[in-house]
Amino acid sequence: MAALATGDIVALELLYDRYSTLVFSVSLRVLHDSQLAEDVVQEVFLRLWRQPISYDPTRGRFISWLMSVTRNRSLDELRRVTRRMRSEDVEDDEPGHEIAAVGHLDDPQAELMVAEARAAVRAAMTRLPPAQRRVIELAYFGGLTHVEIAERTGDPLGTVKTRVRLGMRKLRESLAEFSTWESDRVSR
Amino acid sequence: MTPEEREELLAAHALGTLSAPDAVDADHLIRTDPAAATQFRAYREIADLIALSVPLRRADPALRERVLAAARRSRRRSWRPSLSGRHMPVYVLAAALAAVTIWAATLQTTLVQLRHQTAALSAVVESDAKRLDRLAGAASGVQEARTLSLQLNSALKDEQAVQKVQADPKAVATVMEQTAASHGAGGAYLTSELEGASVLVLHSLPSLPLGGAYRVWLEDPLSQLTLAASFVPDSSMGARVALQRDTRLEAVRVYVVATSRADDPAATGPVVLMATLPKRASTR
Repeated sequence: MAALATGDIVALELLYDRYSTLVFSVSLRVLHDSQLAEDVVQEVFLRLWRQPISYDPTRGRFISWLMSVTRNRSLDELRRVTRRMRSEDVEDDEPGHEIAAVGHLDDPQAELMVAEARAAVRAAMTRLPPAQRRVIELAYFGGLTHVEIAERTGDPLGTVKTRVRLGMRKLRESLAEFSTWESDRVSR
Repeated sequence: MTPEEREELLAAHALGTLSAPDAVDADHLIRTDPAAATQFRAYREIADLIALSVPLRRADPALRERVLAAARRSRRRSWRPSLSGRHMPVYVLAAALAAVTIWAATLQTTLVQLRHQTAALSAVVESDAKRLDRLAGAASGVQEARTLSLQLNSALKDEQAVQKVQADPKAVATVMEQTAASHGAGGAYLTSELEGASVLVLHSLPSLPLGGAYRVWLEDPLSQLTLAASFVPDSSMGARVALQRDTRLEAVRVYVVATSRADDPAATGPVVLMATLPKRASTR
């Protein structure tokens, strides 16, 4: 990131190689459209290039920030084209085949870190009861509110709220080691 | 609020699933309770990790070159001066000074021209409004003309308020704070004691779904919310919104909320920008 701040294009190339597959995959999961997802990838990395200071290291990990930016930009695009699709019906319907690694990294340590985090998050999501996983995915990847999820699933609003709370609590417990704020919480 | 309700609120806010009123409650809790703020940040980080659960798909390999080519074309803003003054020749400084002087003079001329054009436009709008008033009084079945007249008068008053507040050198500006839903949006809340008016100047607002609108809510010291304005951004996703004087009374915070349905008063959505107003700006 420091090299990026000096305008070093090689730094951007490295970041692209490291994270573009992940950024593309998240955007594709939200948009279900390769072309739109590629547009988001371009916007995210150009934003990083033009405004490297938009990432504040004191407020969390870079990967968390990057995922947040990607998700928000993808949801913006989803709303713009008003193509709110049924996320649960097309979960694994994106074009192309799933691949094993995030990218062709020149930094094995970084690759290992991201791979470990991915494995932990996927395992934690898989361990959630299906109803809790569904509401969390509709909220996160579909950008839906409690009320919209209740309308979509036909479940009572209170049930949706409870599922979100329980699901998030389980994820928090499962992923404590990956949360920089957990240690802060414990030390208080 | 029970611990479960509190956790429900904070976890859902981290996930971005709350309606606007609930999001306002959550933001208030986070601002006023350090433990809640810590709990929220923990959930926020977990929410961001959810992205890692997606199955990986490879983008078009050509995209890499497109991104890098666009980056090379893009001349990024420099955060450091490229030249140091002590190494700059005098003639370069003189030329720079002359250029800045000419630019300032040109800008001043442009501003004067803009003021004249705005005044002329205002006169036309006012004239049209009066003409519509006459039409409304003379003809039968002219409710539509009356409505249009009211809208024109309202737009004219708003525009005049915006100009007056922006022209007041003593206007107090409060920078709007970003939220999880800002996505790069920003702006300021300007209050002119002299003019007794306030204006929201916003930029880079996120796109709205078809039929959506932004709403401006003001919060009083008792946490009561009042709808102050509703607007749709211009083509560059910016907006200048004049707020009525009576609705600004006792306001301690202002929220800009995106709603998906402009025609539904009960429609809610995420808080895109917010600001805590200084005492001078919030009391008359």
